[in-house]
Amino acid sequence: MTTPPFKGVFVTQYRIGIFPIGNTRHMQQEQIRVRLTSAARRLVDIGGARVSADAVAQAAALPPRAIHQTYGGFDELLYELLGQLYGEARDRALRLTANMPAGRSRLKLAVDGYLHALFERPGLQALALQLRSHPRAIADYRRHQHGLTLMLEIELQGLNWSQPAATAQLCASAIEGIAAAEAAAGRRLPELRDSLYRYFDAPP
Amino acid sequence: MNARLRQQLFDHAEALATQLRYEELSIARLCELGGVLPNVFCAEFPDVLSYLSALQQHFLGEIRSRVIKVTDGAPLGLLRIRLASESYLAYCHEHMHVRDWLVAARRHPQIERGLQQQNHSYALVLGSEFEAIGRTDTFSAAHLYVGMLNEVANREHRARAKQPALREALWHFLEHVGTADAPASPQRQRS
Repeated sequence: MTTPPFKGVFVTQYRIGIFPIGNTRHMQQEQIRVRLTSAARRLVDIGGARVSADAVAQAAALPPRAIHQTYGGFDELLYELLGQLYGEARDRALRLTANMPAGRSRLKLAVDGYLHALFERPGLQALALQLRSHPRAIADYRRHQHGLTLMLEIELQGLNWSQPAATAQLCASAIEGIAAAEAAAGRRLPELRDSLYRYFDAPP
Repeated sequence: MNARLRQQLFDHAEALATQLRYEELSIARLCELGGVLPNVFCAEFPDVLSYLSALQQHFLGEIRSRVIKVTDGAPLGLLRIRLASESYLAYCHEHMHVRDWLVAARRHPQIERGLQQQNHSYALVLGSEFEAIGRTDTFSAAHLYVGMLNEVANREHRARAKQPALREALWHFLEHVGTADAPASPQRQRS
């Protein structure tokens, strides 16, 4: 192998029949990442976002320095977790509607699937709330909201909605508002959801 | 601090905020630029957060007064809600630098609470307006509308300019939310 696969790791030989040494290290790093984010997720889901680095390391059965070595800092781990949770919610909405024809039903189902996914991840809102004044979390949130907005915009375009992009921006913000209200109430709020779904039945 | 000085600090807040970024806020700088003695300032506001909290209440109070004035005599209906919304957006735009401070200060629970209370009371007022014009789901519709109105304000704030497409989308929502008798959530439709 001529090129080291990872910075600082020069691979000169293969372990017989398995992986390059560099890949093994990479896999170990990946496993550590997964253990740390899984532990953080469990703790955040149970006890909210006020979780400490030590508690996460302990729950992952790793020394506290593992967080710094892997992420560079505890906040970075939390950012990654937040992005992961948002990504799962978006993927769920996409999976749920993958085989449906475009239209109002698909739009409503996608939004409903997304809201269900957010509600089932109580740690997400707590984390988003705690990190919301951090510049990186704000940037991540905007990126995430942009993804949701694009998804809505495509659906609204298909319905020949006037101002699909602007409507998608407002609806994405309404959806986040519903999710935050549901998290605060600790229950789903069907009246809020239905109010938005009924709007999707309006003439475009 | 007497009422006149307090008022002076609030009235000049926009001018102060153009000269002073949130990160630079301190009692010394506020007093220096506002022409108030630090001991006088501190007698009223023990710290910057107390000042910002009072400023937030002043800001929200001014918006309320303007909205009441603008909509005074306007007949109940969508036009009145739109007029109120436009006044709200215009005030936010005119005081964008104070709004910079207040947005940055949202990390403090008491500022966030002030905002939540304002949104809640807007939703209550708007809910009764919706009810009076025969809309359904009035509180939910109002809750969503207030959220969207704030989204327009935030995006215009970041862009430092009006966003006509967003306003059009907001008026469309206003025109149609709570008008359909129809359907329930996708789950119930499927079952």
